[in-house]
Amino acid sequence: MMINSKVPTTKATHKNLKKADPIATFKNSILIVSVVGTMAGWLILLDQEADSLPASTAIPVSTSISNPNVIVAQTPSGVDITQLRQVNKVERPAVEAIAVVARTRSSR
Amino acid sequence: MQANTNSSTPQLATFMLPAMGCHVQTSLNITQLSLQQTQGNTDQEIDQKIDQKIALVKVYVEEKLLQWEHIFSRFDNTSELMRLNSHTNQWTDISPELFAVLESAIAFVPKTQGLVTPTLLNTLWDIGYKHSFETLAKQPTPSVQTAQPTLQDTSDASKNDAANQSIKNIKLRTSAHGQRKVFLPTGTALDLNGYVKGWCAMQLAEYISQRSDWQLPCLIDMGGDIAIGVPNEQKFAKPITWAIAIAKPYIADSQQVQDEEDIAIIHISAGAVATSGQDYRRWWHKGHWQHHLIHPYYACPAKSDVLSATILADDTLTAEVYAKYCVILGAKKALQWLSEQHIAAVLVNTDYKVMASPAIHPNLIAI
Repeated sequence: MMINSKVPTTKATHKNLKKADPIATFKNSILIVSVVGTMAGWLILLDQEADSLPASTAIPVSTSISNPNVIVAQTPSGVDITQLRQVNKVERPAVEAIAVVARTRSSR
Repeated sequence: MQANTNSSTPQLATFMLPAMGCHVQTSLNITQLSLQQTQGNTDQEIDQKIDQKIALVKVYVEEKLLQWEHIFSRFDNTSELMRLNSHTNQWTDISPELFAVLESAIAFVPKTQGLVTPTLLNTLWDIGYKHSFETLAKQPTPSVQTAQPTLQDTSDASKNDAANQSIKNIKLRTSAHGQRKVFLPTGTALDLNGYVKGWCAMQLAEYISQRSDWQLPCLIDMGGDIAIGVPNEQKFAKPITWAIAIAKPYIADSQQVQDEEDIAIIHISAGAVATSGQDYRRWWHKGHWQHHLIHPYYACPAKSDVLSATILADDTLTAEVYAKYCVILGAKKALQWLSEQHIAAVLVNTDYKVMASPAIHPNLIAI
């Protein structure tokens, strides 16, 4: 079976294009404004983030030894080591119930 | 004896014994023992049975310490070690204990570039450490000041030395009947103090926790050299964790720090921890402060920027040797070596700065 697929509507199409639907135009306008607005919003947000102060991620550990594989931990002067120890104990619940049983030191 | 009987916390029985020039602490975890005794027994009967077991352990520890003191003491001329030192240039029968420690000590010589060696008794005598530490001068005394060797940097391991020459000539052998023998070359005198406490701590911990019927988890502390005993059946169960403080080094000839301060707290479930340092065993001799960590290449106390070193290892003798090695090496070389070998350690330098090797972080509770 042959199907006649020729569409004799050239003139009619041109007429439709010239005669644009006012509702569709209005919708397109809203869409464009919406997209532009969203982009502008993101740009403003990104700009604000770039202006914020950089957060420090440095670990408060002295690395005065030149060997990069070694971490040098130094208690800051004037800080009570007992307080530091208590803080660390809270952060490590796995060992919270352990009491110090012995003390290692130069042979005595 | 102190037994902690609070049911919500691990129950510990601890006793202290003076031996081998130090305080020996034995801590037994008796939580499991208490649970085993509860069936059909009153509280009083449970306590009695536990006390009986603890008393047996204490008797065993006392006997072994006494036996080992007679073998290893270098302050007793009748000890097996000192008798061996007087029988050089011949084959001498020795006990399995002396053989085991000497064999281990010799094995560590190449591993420590010859810096930790058992052949330094004559040097220790030369610098005044001929009698027990308690009897040595702890204050400057008026005496003739002799020239102290100039020690700018004793961590230089490039030189050769007499101590390591003599160690090559020490021979060990076991006869067909199991008798151990040793041949000491002329002029060689052994001091095993840097190995014995660690070895004894590990022997006690392994016996109490594994080789005896007691099968008790335990901690043995021989003057700062600590071994953990883990019963065979516990190796696959949830391990018992022991928290151990690392004491701040205390220089006896200065008022800089107070005793009983800690620089860190670690936790271990097995193995050992030991500390060595130039801080505590110091004495005044011939116009100079001396300490017991001898640099074999220079035959005098090592000058190092490491005040003390604490090492975690599988056994206490290893921890003790490596701790001494780190002190003699100095901070920079020691930290490099610890990092390369993945050894857990905490060093304190002469400015009291605390330095931790990367491998120790899983064991650190506080620093």
